[in-house]
Amino acid sequence: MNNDLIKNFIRILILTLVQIFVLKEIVLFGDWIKYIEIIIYPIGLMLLPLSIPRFFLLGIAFLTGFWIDIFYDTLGVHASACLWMSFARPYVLKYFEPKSGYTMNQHPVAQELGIFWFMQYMAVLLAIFTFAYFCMKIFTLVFIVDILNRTIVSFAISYFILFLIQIIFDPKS
Amino acid sequence: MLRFLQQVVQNGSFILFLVLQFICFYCIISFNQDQKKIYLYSTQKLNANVSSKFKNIADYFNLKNQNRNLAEENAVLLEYKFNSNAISKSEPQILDSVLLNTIENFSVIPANIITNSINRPNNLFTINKGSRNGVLPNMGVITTKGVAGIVTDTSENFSLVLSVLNNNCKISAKLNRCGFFGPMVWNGQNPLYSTLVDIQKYADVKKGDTVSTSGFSYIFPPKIPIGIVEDFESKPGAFTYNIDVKLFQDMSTADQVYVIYNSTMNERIKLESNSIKYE
Repeated sequence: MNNDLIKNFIRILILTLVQIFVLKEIVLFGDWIKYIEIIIYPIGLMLLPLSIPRFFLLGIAFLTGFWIDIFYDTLGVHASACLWMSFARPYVLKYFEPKSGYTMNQHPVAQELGIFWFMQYMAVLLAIFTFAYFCMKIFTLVFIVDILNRTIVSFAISYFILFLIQIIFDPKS
Repeated sequence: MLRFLQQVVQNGSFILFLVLQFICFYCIISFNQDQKKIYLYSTQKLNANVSSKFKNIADYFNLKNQNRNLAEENAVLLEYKFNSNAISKSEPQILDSVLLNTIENFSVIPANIITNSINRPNNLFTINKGSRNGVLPNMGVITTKGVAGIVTDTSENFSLVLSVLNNNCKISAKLNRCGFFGPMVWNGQNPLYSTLVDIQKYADVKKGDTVSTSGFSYIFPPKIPIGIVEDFESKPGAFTYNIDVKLFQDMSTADQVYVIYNSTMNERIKLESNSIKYE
């Protein structure tokens, strides 16, 4: 369990550093494409163990989001989106629960629960995250079309990249 | 017992979620400029809406006073109608000046005050008529008793008015008996008084003289009453008097107001801007 936490902590740290120093600097050119933001660090929160208590999960999510916000200079926006996602995580897990149920020390990873299960799980949480993120960023429902456009495009790209990462890296090791 | 603890932990996490989300929201609206602007704009709009709804309800409780005021106005109008020749020119009446000038180039838009303040150094109030009703910035606002302020900003349905109790609100005023005129500004202290400055020392000022608008500015028509001279003094070595004027209209009870529209305002601003060339 202890080993597990350290591993998760290091994973989140690396993901956030990649987010801050690599993905934040990427600027995609073009008229409609310039609003795309590639956000991959939420997967660190998705991969936390199943047995983690909810308030602990919320605390980690808040700190992670805040840490990212400091570098993005958008204090509160990422943190809020992370909180929405972490709040939804137990319900999403419950919805996607296999017929046999989860075992005690299981992790929500593709190796244990299957790639198809994981892609579904990730899709829902990432969609919640990106939608909450752009809602908080644009902050007014006057531009709801803008929010939805940016959510869909950014979600698609981030999802694709996370899919590649899933194939290339094995999060268990 | 375990069940109970489970409940507490579950609800505890929900409370934690709300608390953290609240912190996020607070951070968003205080450290991000765009979101801050949107938040302030929305709350202001909501505030105006709630105020006008509340005002709708409060109006019912104020009907008695309103009726009495209307009756008084009617009485004055009838008096005017029956004795139009007999109005004494020494006591300026609000309605005669407005009505006489309406024929020429002033028109009047009635409105109600929605929010008002009298205890700040610079007071403003909001009225329930906006650009849709023809209210524009720089129009004068009066009540039946006297001058109330000058419109500064308008939205579609509401207007923001600089109250006479505002340091930025300068009104060109005149002493009726001796005819000397000067700007009137608020001293920032007592909401019942305003100060008329720059009156020459050789002017024959007496306590109890009435003060009205001069009509030299395009904002107010002439002879709209402002107040009565309560006290006057001059600083040692100065050539002018500072005159304390007790306002006819107590701004804390103002409700029904009239916005004055001068149809020749733009023409006059344009012409007078030429005067810079000759100074």
